[in-house]
Amino acid sequence: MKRWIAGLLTLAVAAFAAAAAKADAFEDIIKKGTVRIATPLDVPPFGSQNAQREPEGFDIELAGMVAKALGVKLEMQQVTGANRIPFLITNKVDIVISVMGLTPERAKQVMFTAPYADTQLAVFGPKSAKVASANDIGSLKVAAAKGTTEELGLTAMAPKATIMRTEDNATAAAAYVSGQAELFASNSLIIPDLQKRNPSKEFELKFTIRRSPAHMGVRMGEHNLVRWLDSFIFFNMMNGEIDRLHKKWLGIPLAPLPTL
Amino acid sequence: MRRIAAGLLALSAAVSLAAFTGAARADAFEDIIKKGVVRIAVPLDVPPFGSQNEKREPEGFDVEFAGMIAKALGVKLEMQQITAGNRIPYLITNKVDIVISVMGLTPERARQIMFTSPYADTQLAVYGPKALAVSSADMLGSYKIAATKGSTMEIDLSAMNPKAQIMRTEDDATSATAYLSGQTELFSTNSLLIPDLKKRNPNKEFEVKFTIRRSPAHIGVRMGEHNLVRWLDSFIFFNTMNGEIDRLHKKWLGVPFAPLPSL
Repeated sequence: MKRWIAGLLTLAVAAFAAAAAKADAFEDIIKKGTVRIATPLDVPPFGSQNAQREPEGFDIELAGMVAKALGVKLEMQQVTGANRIPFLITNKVDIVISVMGLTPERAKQVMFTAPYADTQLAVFGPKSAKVASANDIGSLKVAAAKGTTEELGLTAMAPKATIMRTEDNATAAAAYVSGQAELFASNSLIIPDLQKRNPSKEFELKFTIRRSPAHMGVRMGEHNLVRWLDSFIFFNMMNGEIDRLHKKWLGIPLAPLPTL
Repeated sequence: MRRIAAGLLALSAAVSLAAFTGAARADAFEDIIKKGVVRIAVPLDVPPFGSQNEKREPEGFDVEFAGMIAKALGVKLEMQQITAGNRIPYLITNKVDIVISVMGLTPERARQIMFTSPYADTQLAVYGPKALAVSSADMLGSYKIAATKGSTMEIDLSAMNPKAQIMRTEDDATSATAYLSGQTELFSTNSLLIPDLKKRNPNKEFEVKFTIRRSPAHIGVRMGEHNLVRWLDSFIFFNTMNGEIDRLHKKWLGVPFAPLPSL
């Protein structure tokens, strides 16, 4: 009899644990009064440290707006491009806001919100260069990091283009800044920072290779949270706040973006 | 002691039942990844979305799109041929995981299944010879009009003009044939099928008489499959951004992709 009761108890506890494990992250955030958001500190102007070593940037400010709208305390967690998805999956954070691009592969691991920031992969150069499309590159040399979407896209768009394939994005930018290449391909998000550090150099957008918007991420199955964030993004698109963030941090107005 | 045992038994049974009900709500997205196979329903009677080529291989917008989805999921594609009449039953009875069958969204259908964001831009319209003076549903009069049973065209036409003489056909090919053979004076179809019909029937006239509605095509999944529908929405978004959806429009429909609103 005692064994029987013990068995029943074990079964009941196990079943209860299974049911409780399917907790709702949105409910938990409200209940605990704290939201844990992962942001980068190595990707200006989305996330970096200012002179006083305080975090600042598009993603940092947006994280603060999310916490305020939720009416809870913000607990910020620094992440890199490599550990942001593991941090989310292992429940170290509730939300990732880290200028993260959506891919079908990543969408197998985490859920993405509608896009909140418009970044693009584009070719940049001096104002004087008459290049408005990949066909206009002609004999100009364009630097692009090897194996990146920029490089692959550019190669497909202009098979005859003289592409200087560099090890990474920083080297591609350096090639342009030093005059080794007349043009360079890059994500538009790093341009404001490059411009600030090289005030005498021109960084005009010549043509877009592809738009690459940024999305927030949540754990798979957190449908209440992702819906709330979609609603938050929609509201802030409508009231002009997302446009304000684009102008403040990226130096461009928000161009209408498709949504999920 | 016995009462405690009985109480525990009842509690355990209730909690187990709750847990079991939870388990019964399996997740289709998880299952697809786990099994390594995705079952996608596509049409073979709606060129250029789905048809058979000379080698009897399936081809078309929906067929190619289904292949892209399986590839992005990293699983094997199991294609299932369906018609407009049985695509929703096939989904509901779990014969397939996903329907890609140039399917229009209606609130009525959305009570049975869930729709993704649109992936293709299509228009539903009524076609006929130039001579026929018909420019709205009210002007159909005694003209016979062919429409596929259960399609958005048929449902809308019935609503727009309850007295319309609708010949309800099994599939879209039969509707077009009814018009071509002179069984009906008019037929309703997706605007994007017209170029192909014109090419194959150069002597027949295909003039737009009136538009029933703009009707983008959506992917369908079973009710409650939120993870799967979210992944598909992400897949559509990604392929809108990288130009693949535009490429499919140009390749199969001969038109560039015009921006569409999302869900």
